[in-house]
Amino acid sequence: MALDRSLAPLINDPVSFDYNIPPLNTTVLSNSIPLYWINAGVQDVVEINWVFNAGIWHEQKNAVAQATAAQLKNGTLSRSAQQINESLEFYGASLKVNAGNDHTTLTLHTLSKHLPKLLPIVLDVILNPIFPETELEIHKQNAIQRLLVSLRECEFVANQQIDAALFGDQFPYGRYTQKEMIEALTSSDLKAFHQQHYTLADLKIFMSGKVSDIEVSLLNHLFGKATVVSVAKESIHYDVQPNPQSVRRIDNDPNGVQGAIRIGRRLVTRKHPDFAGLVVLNTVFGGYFGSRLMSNIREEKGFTYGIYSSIGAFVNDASLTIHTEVGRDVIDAAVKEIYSEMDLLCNEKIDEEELLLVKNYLLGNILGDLDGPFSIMQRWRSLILNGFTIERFNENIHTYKNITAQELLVLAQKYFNKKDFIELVVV
Amino acid sequence: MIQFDKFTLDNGLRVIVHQDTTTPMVAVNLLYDVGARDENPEMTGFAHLFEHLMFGGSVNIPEYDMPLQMAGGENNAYTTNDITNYYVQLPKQNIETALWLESDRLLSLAFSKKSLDVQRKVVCEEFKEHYINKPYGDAWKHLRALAYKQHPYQWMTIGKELKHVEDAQLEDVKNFFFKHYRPVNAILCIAGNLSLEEVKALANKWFGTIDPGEKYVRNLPKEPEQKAARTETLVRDVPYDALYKAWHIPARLEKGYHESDLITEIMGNGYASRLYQSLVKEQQIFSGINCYHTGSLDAGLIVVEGKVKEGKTLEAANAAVKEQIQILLSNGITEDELQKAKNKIEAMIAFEDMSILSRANNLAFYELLGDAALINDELNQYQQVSADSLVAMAKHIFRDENENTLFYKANAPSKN
Repeated sequence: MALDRSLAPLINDPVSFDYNIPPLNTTVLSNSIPLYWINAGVQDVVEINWVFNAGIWHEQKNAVAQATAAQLKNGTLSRSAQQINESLEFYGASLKVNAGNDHTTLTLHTLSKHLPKLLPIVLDVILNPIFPETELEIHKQNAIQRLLVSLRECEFVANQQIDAALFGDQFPYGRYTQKEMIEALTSSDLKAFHQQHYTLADLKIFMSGKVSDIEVSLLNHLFGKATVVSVAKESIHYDVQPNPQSVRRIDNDPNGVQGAIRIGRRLVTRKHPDFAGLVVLNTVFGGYFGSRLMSNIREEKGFTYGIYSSIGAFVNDASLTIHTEVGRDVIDAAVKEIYSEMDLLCNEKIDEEELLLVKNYLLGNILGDLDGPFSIMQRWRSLILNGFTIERFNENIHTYKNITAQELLVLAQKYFNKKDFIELVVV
Repeated sequence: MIQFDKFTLDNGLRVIVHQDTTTPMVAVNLLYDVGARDENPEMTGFAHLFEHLMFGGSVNIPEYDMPLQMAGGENNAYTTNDITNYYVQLPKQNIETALWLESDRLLSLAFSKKSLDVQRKVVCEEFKEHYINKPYGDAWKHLRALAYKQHPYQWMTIGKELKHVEDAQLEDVKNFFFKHYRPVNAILCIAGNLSLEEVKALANKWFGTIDPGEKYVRNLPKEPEQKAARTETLVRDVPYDALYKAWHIPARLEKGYHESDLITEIMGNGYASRLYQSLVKEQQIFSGINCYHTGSLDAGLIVVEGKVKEGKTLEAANAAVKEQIQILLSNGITEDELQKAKNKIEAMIAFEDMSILSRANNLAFYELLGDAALINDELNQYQQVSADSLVAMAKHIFRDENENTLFYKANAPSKN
């Protein structure tokens, strides 16, 4: 019998599947540092994250958190920068240090067999960095050069300015790095930040990959023996001071052939009961290739190579931002379409078929994410760093499966009002 | 060791099966043996534009993405100078949705005028975003044209100019499709918790009756051996000077390819590499520098690319790179350096193999090279390289007459 290709094969809706995160092991090291670990996967590889409360939120002087992270591997009491890099790279390993808005994370990727050689270096880098002046000077010059190149790009400028507009440029999530801030950095700034914030007392370690008790005891042997000293930290409070100007145009490049559009608002954090529903609503709006924004502005009108809306959720605040780069002559038309898609979500219930599609898409992706040790751990890490338990994951899945078009309409009317958004275009 | 089976359908479609019983997902990878190198020099960028059109509906299915997303799937595609590759990942239960979609667009596209009109614009915006509206964005256009005088690697996959993309006609789209998008020119790889028998039945059901098409016989001009060093100077509105250098290296399957790859590891990959350590850290002539190769199927390029530090000249920067190359050629490499480069490759392969999608992609790619089994011998190929053979290869590559240098000059001193 000939195949009837006009008939789609039956789909098993991912909304009907069960979703379980593989369980997490918790081992408390001898000095009370928590180690969370998962043994999964077939390749002999491991990822370890060391997470400190040392993000941009915690810096007193601009650009210090990121500079400290960038310089951490550039020399300890007993190893030069070159020796550190050489011994990591010799084993084909990578150690990255990243300062985010809230946390600073060291991430080691290596074949499991090399861990015994690598962990002592990581311990040394965490405990004994000396931030040599010469290394810092090279870093500053090169970081300034990179910054001045990036500032020629409308996308880069737009990303900086939208966060500054949403939160205020004094607020940690709205601050952006300027040349003068890099110039003002000193080795003693970095040392002080390290001493204050890279404290073992609030270190959390996450390990995933093909690992066993052997790797756990290896970590305990090294990291469990370090002395943990609690450093008294002042609790920090900042006031959000959004830019009162709700529409801005910046001319960055007279010859620019595209404009970077950013339209954003502050949002509730993960702790708020609306958050999980907003994830679904954002997906409908601009969170995947089939989204309203992409269908209209790319696939229907051809204004752009891509348009997305995304939620940036941090510990103390959050935002939702639409971002796209469009041809210079269609900037106004694109902005208008973005608002009309917002209005549509506020005025009409999402069609049942579209809603089912978005739920299936979202959940199918989560199923893919729950496959593979590093992405399983990433789910756990996000829960733990936000102070949640597995219950939160299950609640979110429940929302993704069951939220109704009516509930999404109410959410849209609450969060997708044009008057709450700040609009920015950089050419 | 990656286990797999393979078979060929009656219409010539090659199928690879990789069974992984641990995952709830399946990966479906369909590789077409066509890339930017197969384009008409007057219609460059077409293979990539065509990739966009593959999502504009097929003969029986108005829209590709919607049913796939409904099935919980995620997909994308990419075009290189050599190949065009389409991939899908979705829950195993819904594999037939992916096969239904992929087989229908191999059967025939819808050839929608509207899709062509829109995607021409989308690709033009992609062109602007990545190659026009970006500092140094046109460097590769010039470097390719400098290094290749005959071979079609002289243009980028996005195309030589916007006009080529803007001029594409529906008739061109049809011709391209029936010339290249036929079962005899494609390789399908399915990875996930499926047995060989299950995949055979599914592949036959969905792909078996598609017209085989004619095998595309590639007959590209070979790049003649370069006889003299070439240089070009561009002056652009950028904050800093940049240096790009390129040397021809052997093709993917030729002897010397693995040596070339290891040379780039030693010279320019990582903070402990030679160029970074000596030119960024010690001499401070560059603010950043990289060494890599194009990894192409036909003879490719080793490239050194760096931004010159404020206050240093392009000439000094060029001389410093040449000096480092001379040191490599005169003094050779240590056993430790060679071991380090091999260790990096070993780790890189293991990390790549973690993802089922990457395994499916690589198996299809090695099958295109001649045999999917090559995937399991790759590390061994690197292990066989000795310090002597690596330095001999370096001496062959880094000959003065094999060198191409692009001086990318800032038109005004940067404002500080």
